[in-house]
Amino acid sequence: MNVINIRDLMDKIQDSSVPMHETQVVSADRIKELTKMKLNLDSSRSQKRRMRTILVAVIAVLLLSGLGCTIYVIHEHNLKSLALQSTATTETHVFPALNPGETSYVETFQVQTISLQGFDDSPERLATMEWEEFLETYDPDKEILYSVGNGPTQWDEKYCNCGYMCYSQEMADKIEEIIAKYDLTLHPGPLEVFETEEVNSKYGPVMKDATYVGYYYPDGTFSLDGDLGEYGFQIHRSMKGVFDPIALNIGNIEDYEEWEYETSEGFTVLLAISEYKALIIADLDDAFVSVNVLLNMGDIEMSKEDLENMADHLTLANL
Amino acid sequence: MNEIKALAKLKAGDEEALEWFIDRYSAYVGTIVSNFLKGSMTYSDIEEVTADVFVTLWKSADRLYPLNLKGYLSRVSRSLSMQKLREQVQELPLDEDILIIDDQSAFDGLAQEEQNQIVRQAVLAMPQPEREIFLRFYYYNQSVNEISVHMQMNANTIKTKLRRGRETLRQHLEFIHIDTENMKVKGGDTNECNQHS
Repeated sequence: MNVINIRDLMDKIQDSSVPMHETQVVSADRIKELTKMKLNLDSSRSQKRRMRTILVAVIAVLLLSGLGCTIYVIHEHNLKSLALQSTATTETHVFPALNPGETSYVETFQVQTISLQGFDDSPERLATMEWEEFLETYDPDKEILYSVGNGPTQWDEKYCNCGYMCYSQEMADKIEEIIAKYDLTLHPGPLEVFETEEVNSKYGPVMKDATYVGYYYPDGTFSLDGDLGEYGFQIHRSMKGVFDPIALNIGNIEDYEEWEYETSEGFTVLLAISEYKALIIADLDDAFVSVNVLLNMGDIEMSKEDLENMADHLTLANL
Repeated sequence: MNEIKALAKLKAGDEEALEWFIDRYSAYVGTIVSNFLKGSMTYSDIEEVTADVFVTLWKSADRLYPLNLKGYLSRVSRSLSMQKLREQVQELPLDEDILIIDDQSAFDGLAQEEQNQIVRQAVLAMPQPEREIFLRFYYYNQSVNEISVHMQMNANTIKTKLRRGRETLRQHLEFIHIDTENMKVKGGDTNECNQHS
């Protein structure tokens, strides 16, 4: 007879299917400090961004057309023409009590996502909508993902390494179906990391007086995460003709005040601002550009004039 | 940022990506580590092991794929917690942790990856909620009472389902044999295990 310890046997698998009742047993800041100490990393470099939770992303609009700077007007475009759902839905998150005797904290928030690829019936936006709809119902219990684990798969090189979530043939088939239907291409290679100097040498300053770090694909699609004064922001440039299914949760579109603005460079952009987020959006000839200003990280306020000032710092001609 | 981008940044040695993962997963990792160490270790031990999980993530980033990183972190959390426990506490396994299988089983003779796959399949073969109960108890080290609270089920029901889960696992491991003609490993029940690619 062979005697096996089941707990030892569990070393052979990995799981993320069981919902954990997460509690803040440890402080994230303390874990950062300890981890960096163990790795001998200098924590001062990124201290400035420590407060940023990084969530989602972005949106902005700028217009431009190459060196000629043709002005593109977006009268008919607004946040609703970017929305991936017609109305916001309400979700509830229960934060469990940390100590005996305390009560759990319930937070209700609204969810409505927008496309970062284009307005209305642009093929890029429709492709993202179809992919999002597919993901909503595919592998709901994550059983397929669970069985795949974290090891290499046959889809890594073509899909996963290029930014697409894909861990089954069904997902690969769906991606192929979408790009054929909307006549799009996949990102041609893995994303690369670049910092301010590299971005500036490649595109010129994207946001004057700002620092940033980001990722780019060989096709020109990129995302930057940066700071301009007290404001943290994210910029996403999605190239036309490419399947780049990135969506941004903005809460509830009804909470935003929207207006058009002509930047100091002569570009007309769509601006939108709410209590938690501000957006700049530009639908360019070759790319769709969005800026997401993060206003929910600490005691930061932004007026409409501040947002217009930020839009003036964008060098759209470089995009 | 999403996980794919964060992992790409981590591979490039970006500290902000490390912070991103810690912001996102420290509560999850800390909860798992605490499941194992609470009662027998100090709070600072829990912090130390939680930090070690992210040290492992940083050092292993090059070898990781952007799939199920949460599962990867749960496995590392579990593994490092068990290691910590074994360093400081010598305990004999309890009866409920022991599985006795027939000598005829080929399980012990299998390669590591094949064993992993067999165990994965055995767990997946359990119906719900048996599987969740089994994982909570054996993988996440939660007690029957804790599981009872989380899943709002009677403790005796939990124990019964744990017994069934053990039996499913035993059957799966006991009926493994090597098909020498086709050089394939066959698992319990009717499921054939593919060679790990």
